[in-house]
Amino acid sequence: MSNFVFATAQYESGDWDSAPLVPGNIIDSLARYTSLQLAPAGVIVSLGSTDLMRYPFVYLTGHLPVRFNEAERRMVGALIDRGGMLFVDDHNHDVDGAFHRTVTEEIVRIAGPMTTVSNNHPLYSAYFRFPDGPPTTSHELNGWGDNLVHKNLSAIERAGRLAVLYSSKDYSSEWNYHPETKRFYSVDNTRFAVNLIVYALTR
Amino acid sequence: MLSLADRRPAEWTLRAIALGCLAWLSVGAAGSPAMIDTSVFPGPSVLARLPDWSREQPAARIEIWFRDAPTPPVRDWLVAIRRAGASVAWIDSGVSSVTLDIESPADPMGGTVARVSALPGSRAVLSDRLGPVDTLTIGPLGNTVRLPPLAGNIAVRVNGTSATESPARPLERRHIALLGRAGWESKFIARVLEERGWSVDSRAGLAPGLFAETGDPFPLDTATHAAVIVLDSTANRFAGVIASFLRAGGGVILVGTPPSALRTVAPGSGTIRFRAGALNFPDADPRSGLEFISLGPIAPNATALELRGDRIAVAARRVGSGRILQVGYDETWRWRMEGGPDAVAAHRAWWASLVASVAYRSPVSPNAHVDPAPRSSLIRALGAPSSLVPSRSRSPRYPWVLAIMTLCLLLEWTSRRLRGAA
Repeated sequence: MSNFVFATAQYESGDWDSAPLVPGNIIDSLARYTSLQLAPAGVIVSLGSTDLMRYPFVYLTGHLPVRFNEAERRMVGALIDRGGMLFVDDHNHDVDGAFHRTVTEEIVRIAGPMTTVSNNHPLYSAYFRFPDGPPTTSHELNGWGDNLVHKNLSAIERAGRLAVLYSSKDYSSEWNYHPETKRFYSVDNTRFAVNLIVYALTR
Repeated sequence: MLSLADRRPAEWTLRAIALGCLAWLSVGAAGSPAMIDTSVFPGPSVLARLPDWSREQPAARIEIWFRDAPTPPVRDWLVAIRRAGASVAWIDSGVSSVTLDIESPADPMGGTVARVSALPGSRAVLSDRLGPVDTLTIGPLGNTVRLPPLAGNIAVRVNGTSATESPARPLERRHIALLGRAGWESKFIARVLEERGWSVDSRAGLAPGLFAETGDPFPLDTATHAAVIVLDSTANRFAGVIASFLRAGGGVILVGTPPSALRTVAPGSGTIRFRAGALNFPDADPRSGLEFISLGPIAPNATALELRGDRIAVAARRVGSGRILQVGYDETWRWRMEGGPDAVAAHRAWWASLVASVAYRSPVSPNAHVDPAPRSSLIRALGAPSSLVPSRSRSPRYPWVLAIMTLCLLLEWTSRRLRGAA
């Protein structure tokens, strides 16, 4: 039986590698909390390559504007249509930033309009329970001077399942910590990542 | 001793009697049509006579000319009359040999398949309770046609003979249970079966004692589930329940190496992993690029269903009333994700066919009003058809008349021989 491989999307435009520690931290959390069969390290996969189809779960983040080329649009569409899941997180934590505007344009262009994920969606009880919906991040709570908390995630569904999950909550910053700093957290801040992967593997 | 003058009249009398007997035998040997009734079917003639034949046993043989096969009730009535002591036979005047076989795959999108066989070149009309559905010209090996959802019994009519069959009962909303660790294969198996119209109750292992459940995979019962798919050893603790389900008629699909507790019922026992070819999925043979576990050696009553070279990739066997299938491919999701444009549909159809091949179906109650092979049924009920010329029975007086004629001729001959002695 195949292992779960955490795949990070590499795209032509923007800074796709802005959160290089995220894969390792999430894999570590999955190994601690579950007995899922995991690849010990993440992979980087080109968004425009047919190799993308080897990884039904793909993580995409960045700060800078995003413009997909034709191959990337085609492969993202194929990933979604065949049952894969794309998790996109705005590493900027803002409401109208360049990454947010451009990447949402691309997603809508490929897969149609996004809808708000209700806070009682099965995603929030797939492993740990988040009765109030997506957990807030320390960046949201501390704020960047705007005290802006994004209350919901957005998504595109296929056959009743999340195919694209979009976050403006900056989980990339939340999960991109050095492993040594995790011991200072009273509550593991990667629990929602466990929900994300468990949902992708079971729905 | 009589004088010659007395003998001559006596001899002439004896000759006359013998000639009379001979004449009677010549006419009567052809027999009289001893049948009481000769009827052409269909028509009300036989049907109208059945009550009379039932009330009073006909004295003579009944022979009926059938152009078309009688309906099952009429046929069974004739059988009852015959069993009551009457002599009943039939003459074939063109009864068509038409048979109908209906197959309803255990698949929410499987539809109904009708197989019709009749004389090549003849025209057949398929219909259901609501009317004609399709017309066929019968080929050399019959015809197979996929039908839309139909109402009631299905009939095919060739000339005047109809064959009827009941479609299998619908799936009655049974579910598929899916047991295994959370992973891409379990995710995509559930997805493709749901796309096909099945309801899937899954139990995905996440950690020791922790599962993600969708629906109610337990209790596992043929009343609620048509089949169970087992992916790995997390199903070991349910082996007893699965085996009971299997023996009761439920379907089981094992993916990859079977859990240790199910090895006694598994078709195969292999554990070695192979890759047949490069990791691509040509439309002609999409599974050629998948890794698989070679299942051999297989159980004595198991059948190899798919080979990769000389290695068994898929095998099946029957256990009790159920059927268990073992699939050596445990990463078929790659076919769906990485295959060609048709891969999604092909992968889904393949998994649907696997489930359909083992899924539990309720037994179909015998239906007295269907007759899938009317000519065969008629022969089975009333025997082979009689010859075309209606038989005629001899009079019971025939032996006596023959004896009288013989005696007269003998006496006449004796009298002539003894003339000299007188």
